[in-house]
Amino acid sequence: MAKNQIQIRISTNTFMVDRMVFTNYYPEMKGDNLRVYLLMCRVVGFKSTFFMGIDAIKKELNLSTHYVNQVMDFLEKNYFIKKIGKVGRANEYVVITVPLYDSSTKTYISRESIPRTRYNLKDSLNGYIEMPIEVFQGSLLKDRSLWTDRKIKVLMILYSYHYIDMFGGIDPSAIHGNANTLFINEYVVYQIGCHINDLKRTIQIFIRDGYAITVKTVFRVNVNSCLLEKQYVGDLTEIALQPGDDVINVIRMTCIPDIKLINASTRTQGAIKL
Amino acid sequence: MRNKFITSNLIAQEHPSFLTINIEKEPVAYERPQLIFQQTGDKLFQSLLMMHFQQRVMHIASAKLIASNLSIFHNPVSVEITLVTSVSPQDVRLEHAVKSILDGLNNVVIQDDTLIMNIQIWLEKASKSYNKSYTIVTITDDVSNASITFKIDGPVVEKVLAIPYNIGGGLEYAQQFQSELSTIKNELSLLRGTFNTSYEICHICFHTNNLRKDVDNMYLTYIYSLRVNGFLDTKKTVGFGMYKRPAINGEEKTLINLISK
Repeated sequence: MAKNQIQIRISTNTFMVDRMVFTNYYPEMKGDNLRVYLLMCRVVGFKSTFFMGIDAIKKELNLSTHYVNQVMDFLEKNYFIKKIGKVGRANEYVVITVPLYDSSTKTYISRESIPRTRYNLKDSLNGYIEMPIEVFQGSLLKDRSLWTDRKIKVLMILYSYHYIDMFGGIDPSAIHGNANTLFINEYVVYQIGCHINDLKRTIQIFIRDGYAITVKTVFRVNVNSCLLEKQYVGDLTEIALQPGDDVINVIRMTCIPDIKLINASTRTQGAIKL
Repeated sequence: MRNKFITSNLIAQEHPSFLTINIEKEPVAYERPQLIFQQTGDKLFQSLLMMHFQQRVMHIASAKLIASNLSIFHNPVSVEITLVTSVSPQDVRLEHAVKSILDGLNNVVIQDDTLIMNIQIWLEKASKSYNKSYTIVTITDDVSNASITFKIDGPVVEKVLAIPYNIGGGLEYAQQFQSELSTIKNELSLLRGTFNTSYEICHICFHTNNLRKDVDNMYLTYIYSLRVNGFLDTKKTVGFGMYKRPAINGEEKTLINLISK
């Protein structure tokens, strides 16, 4: 896809995923475990409970019955989901607040007591991301050769640092640059748990395939703040440069929740090209 | 000859490998800058990298607490941190590493930051062959002696101050804190005429009439003032100690102990 054809897609529905899920924190949150869990997060995103039959899950993820049962057992036994009843012949589940993991005893500890709502998770250290549902349409959870674990996790990490109103895209202190010269903070590299070059390559693929674009953005000193931090004030194409401004290549995801777009436009007084 | 420096409320004395500074005043705790235009809908924005890091700290420490059959620390506690990294000491701010880790423990593992009486943090170089960063944290209940130790793999994300969300959003330090801070800075700069050595280790004991003050916040005020006056050898800084003790009115003081390795 040519660069000038890439459009921002407005997402009208998002679902929550706890930030710890796509880092290297839970050693077993990979492969089918990761995919079934993400599917459940997506489904409960608008239905509040999950009651897909085994056949539907099998079809959605291209899995065998045996594996689906095995994965559901794993997720339930380790406090990621909880069975609450039956709808017809299918079990009904809720997704609960992600468990703690004690690496010395390799055990998961339930945190069911913390309600998994935006209100309860916000302002505590239980951060989550708002994943646009539209990104998960198509083959993302089904095609394992196209969508490896790493690719899924990197996509979610990118969204976790994506703050369109505050930075015009991904927080540049985490990741910035263009396809050829990417800066990635060492903590982000650690979170994913792969080599920095593999991470760079994965981000380059997202840019190539139109999941993200790079945008020249303007960062200006905030003279009203005692910290004199540089703030994102708008895109280079939409705003006149002033002496002392920094121009930073920010990575912008192309599928963005509508509310975030409104916030970004309001904060920059329209100086963001969408 | 050993140098000595005395003013009405400050005594400093140099020894062969250390310097003591005794300030006979109630210690001053660091106060974060506040939003000026909060009423116009501005809000503070926290660093995302730091929040990610603190979430991990909270997870690891909470799991350890429960796996050790302990409940949240609610007595006075001591915290010891060993930070192992391949990063050069001059690129590490140990006081900001402490702050970031403690923010991940507050209210979940330690009931209240004000319960922390002693903190030590030591910087160690990662071994050449392994070359991986990690941090070991031990929290000890000073009354029951119960303790947990846990390891945080990966680099530490240091504390970063929250910034205004709005473009041009105002942020400022409280005036009283600003003037108290510049007094301390000026007092310590006067010492530079007499003492010109830089040190690698800095212990500070705060005798305060207000135990609600966080020991790490008091430390921030003084370590900043020592840094700007060149008392720390930033290329070799390896260890900080922060201690809080109750003092009755009239006996408040700050004891600074700067040591060479």
